[in-house]
Amino acid sequence: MKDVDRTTKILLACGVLAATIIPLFIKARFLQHILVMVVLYAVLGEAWNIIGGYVGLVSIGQAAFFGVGSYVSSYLFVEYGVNPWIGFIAAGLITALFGFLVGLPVTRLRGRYFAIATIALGQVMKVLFENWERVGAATGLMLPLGKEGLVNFQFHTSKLQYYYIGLVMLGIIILFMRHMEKSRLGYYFKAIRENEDVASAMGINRTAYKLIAIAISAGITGMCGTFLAQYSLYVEPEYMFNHNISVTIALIAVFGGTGNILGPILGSAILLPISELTRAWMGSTGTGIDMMIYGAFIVLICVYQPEGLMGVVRNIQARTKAQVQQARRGANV
Amino acid sequence: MSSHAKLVATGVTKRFGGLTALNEVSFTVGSGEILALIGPNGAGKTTLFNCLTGFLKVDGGTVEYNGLNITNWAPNRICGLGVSRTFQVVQVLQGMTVLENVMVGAYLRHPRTAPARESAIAALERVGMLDRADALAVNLTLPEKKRLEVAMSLATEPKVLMLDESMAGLTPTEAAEASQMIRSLRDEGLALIVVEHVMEAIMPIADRVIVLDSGTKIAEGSPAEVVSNPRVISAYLGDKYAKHVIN
Repeated sequence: MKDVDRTTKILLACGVLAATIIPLFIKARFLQHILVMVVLYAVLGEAWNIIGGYVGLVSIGQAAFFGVGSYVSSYLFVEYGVNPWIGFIAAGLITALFGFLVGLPVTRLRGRYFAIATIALGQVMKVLFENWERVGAATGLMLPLGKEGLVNFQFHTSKLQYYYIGLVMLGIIILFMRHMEKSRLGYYFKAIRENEDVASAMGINRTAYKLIAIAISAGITGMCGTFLAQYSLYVEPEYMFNHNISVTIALIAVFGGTGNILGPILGSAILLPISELTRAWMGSTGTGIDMMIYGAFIVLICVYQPEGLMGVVRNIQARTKAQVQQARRGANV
Repeated sequence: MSSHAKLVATGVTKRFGGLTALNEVSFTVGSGEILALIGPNGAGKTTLFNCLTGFLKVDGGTVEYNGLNITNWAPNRICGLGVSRTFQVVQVLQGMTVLENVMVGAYLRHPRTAPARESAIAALERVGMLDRADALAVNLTLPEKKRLEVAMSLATEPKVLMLDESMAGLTPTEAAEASQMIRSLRDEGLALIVVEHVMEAIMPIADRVIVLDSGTKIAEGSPAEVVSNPRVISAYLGDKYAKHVIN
């Protein structure tokens, strides 16, 4: 057991080191773009994981929260000149409140009905913003160019700064989730996922804890919305409320493995480069071959590893553990 | 002894469409008492549990806990007051370990993880499951799951504990151990309501017995009184048991 833990720790340390240092040597802007997308979607996947993986409420409408967050900070910036970092915090708080309010009716639904309701939510929000003149309707909002730098959350010469901001966000959410896993909140979330009746019988207020989960998830997703708004310096409904965002978020989390911290990160680190690279290399052929490769890859994982990539990791761990035990037994004989 | 607790059901009635599953059932149970609830299949025992613990809404009657009307409260609030139950069809958190299952219960009174874990370990020790603490609940045998459920309920530190056929599937030795445990819980001042089919296990330890048949309470009394009650014998225990009593 200890040996396995140690290997995992060393691997994780190497991963963190690589994620921090290697990007410094990447100069191609497109590759930098992929890195930014990987960390952004890793954070989004973790946010999804809180409700989808831990509480077991599968959301396919995260774009609703994403879009609301991006509009909150952008509107504050464009209309009132509010610093994007304040907008970033405001986006988190307002989207969390929005998630809570949406959750009041939606958390009454179970399983597939919850999923369908969240799809509808994403679509409704998109149409709403497309027709809301105050926030630019279908044209959206352009964020005025400011002085490049961390203070203004704008960088023009390189995308790496965005990558490191995303990496810090990812680090914070990982720390949060590690704490959550070991606390009452995490146990109660899992208990609700495993069996709602038992959860109630153990004194857990299911509705309250579902609302907490959806508010946290929505808040983080909203902050990611601000992140993308600052990255592309414009927001429009078709872009920020795109259903693809919702699907991709759920996909990378499920693909990586839900209900644990590492899953969505793995999912994002593998799926997004494939998606972006196939799109860049073959997207312009007009044959849709990029989507076919992407799709085939997902189908293969679903068929052979329904637990996601973390299932593969767990199998390897179990095998190592068995080998260690066998070796010990051999030594004892 | 913990503070005195008293659960009073008055005229509890539950209908499913045209079927009256419970018809004006009344009883009282207090600290330091084992109340056995018996009756043939479909008599309404589990329905009564569900009505008492808020899993089903009653159509009539009241449930009071220490003078507080808790009729139709949400299950989690009833559990928070100190009324806990297990399920007839065993219900555990399959994907979590035995210890984690019990910790979910323990968190109710101990919001911090370290005390919750200690309390959970104590509950597991109590039901003799500590050696299985790291096992996944899904991998347990049925009797082990039943014991786990009891540990989970105990971890919520109840004043009233309702056990729904917790001894089903146990070997005679294990059943004896289980009755010993139920007795010691009573001696600690818990009020227990026990639904049980294993008569040999429950009759010797019950202080009082109520008998349900088709949703109606047909008898109440000491185990000796109840088993000699002709209505009970004809409704539930049958000729075989009747002969046994006479002999």
